[in-house]
Amino acid sequence: MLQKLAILFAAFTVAICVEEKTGEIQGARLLISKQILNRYLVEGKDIEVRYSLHNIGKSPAVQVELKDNGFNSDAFEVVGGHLSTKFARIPPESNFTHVVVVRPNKYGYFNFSSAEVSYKVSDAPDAQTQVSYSSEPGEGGIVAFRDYDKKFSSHYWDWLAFALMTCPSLVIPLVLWYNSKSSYEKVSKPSKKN
Amino acid sequence: MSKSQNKGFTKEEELLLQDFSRNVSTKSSALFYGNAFIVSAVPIWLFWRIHMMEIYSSLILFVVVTALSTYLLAIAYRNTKFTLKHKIAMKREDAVTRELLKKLSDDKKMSKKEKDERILWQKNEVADFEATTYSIFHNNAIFLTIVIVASFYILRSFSPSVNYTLSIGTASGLLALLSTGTK
Amino acid sequence: MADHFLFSVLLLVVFVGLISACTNPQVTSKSFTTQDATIVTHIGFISEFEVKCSSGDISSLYAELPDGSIIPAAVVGTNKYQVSWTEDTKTAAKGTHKIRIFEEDGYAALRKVLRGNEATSSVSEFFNISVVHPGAYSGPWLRSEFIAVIASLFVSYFAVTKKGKIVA
Repeated sequence: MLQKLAILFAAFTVAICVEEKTGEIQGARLLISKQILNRYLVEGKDIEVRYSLHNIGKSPAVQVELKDNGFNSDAFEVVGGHLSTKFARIPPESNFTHVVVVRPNKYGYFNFSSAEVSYKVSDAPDAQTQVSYSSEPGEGGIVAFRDYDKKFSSHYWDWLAFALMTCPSLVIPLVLWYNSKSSYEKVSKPSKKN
Repeated sequence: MSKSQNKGFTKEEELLLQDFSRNVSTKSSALFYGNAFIVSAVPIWLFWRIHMMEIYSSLILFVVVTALSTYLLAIAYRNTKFTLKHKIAMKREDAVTRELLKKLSDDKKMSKKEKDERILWQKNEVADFEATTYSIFHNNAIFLTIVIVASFYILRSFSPSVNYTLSIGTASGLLALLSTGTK
Repeated sequence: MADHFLFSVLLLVVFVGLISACTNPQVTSKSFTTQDATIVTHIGFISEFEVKCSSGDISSLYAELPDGSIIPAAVVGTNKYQVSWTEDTKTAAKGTHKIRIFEEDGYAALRKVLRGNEATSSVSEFFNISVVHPGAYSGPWLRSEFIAVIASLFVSYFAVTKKGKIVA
């Protein structure tokens, strides 16, 4: 995805350079990387989505609208942040992040698609509106909660049951041996007896 | 070794022979195999609940490995018992003698030889019993420790089937091997 | 020519801003942080707040994050804003994180201060918001198999030493 962006960027740069031969300031250019910050995707548990916005142009990006339509409301619940946001002005040569937390209520494979961003390339009132897309995290598998729980829960009860089951095989021989041993040791030490 | 020679052995000599042979009576054998089977089978619970092994799909593996482990553990029990029996017998000699003499002191009809035989037999029994029980306890404890350490720490990243086979196999194999050493 | 035009536009904006600056902001905020650190690589901090002015309008808002960076606040509704960032699960601090919010003038002052390499604390904020992070769960305190191993090692040690005593 990054390669595509790089090619796109190069093409635009060439176009702008051809246009602005007089060496005027380049317009704003926003690069957005959308990342899923999860090690595991689990049904009913948080999925963190981080949008890193970089303005690599020399002009501020104005009236920026970031919209992510990739999480439809019947499969995902937004628990933190908003999927559609606006930024009045993103200064040139700066970057920052925007975080949204969603919770899936279904499990299965899911394709995390790009978010869409539209912005004006400079402060000028006749600046053109640019539409571009964020990077695509790709496909991920959302694990059912039952499977996640079975794999990662503490298993204290299972260990306790195991301990109970192994107790007879350990305790009974030990007790039998110890009884015999102590009774015979008592016999061989008559000083202890009255 | 003709049969006539066997008849010539006194009870004492027979007992001594039994002492020095590693053969165990069927009762002991049954005890050993029974215990070995239980201890080999119990870790299946761990593998089913914690390592998420499906019972039905791994049934054959479970059966084969449990059978192998039972056999190896029984060997370990037998050898450990043999190692312990003599030492215990020596230690118990005094106590058994004293106890039996006290018990049979009123019985004037028994000859000294018979009393000695009885003492020897009792000593053998006690040593046998203590050696058997302690061998089972000792080997069970070490077996379980090796299985837990192997499957939850050393072989953690392996697939559950490999984990199961290697941990149980290594534990029982190691015990069988170590028990043949003279300690 | 374009420069002049740009300048006059800017002047107009500043003028307009000065006339109707927000007074007496009433802020209601709510914060959210991810609390299960076993499934994520970073903790997300999200603060959503709503500003009500007694008079005037708000220009765009900027936030100063705990790491010192100044970012524009996202507009998620009328007078509703969101400020969010992430921190590594291992270094994320528990407790209250104070975020300073600045208006356009404050932001301009901040930029000047940063250019002069001075501390940003000299610029007074428009208002503060707090993000409370109660801490994230990163796994059970004592793993069950650890206890099991210790217990079994104990028993084995006991068994072996007793055997040593018998054999001695």
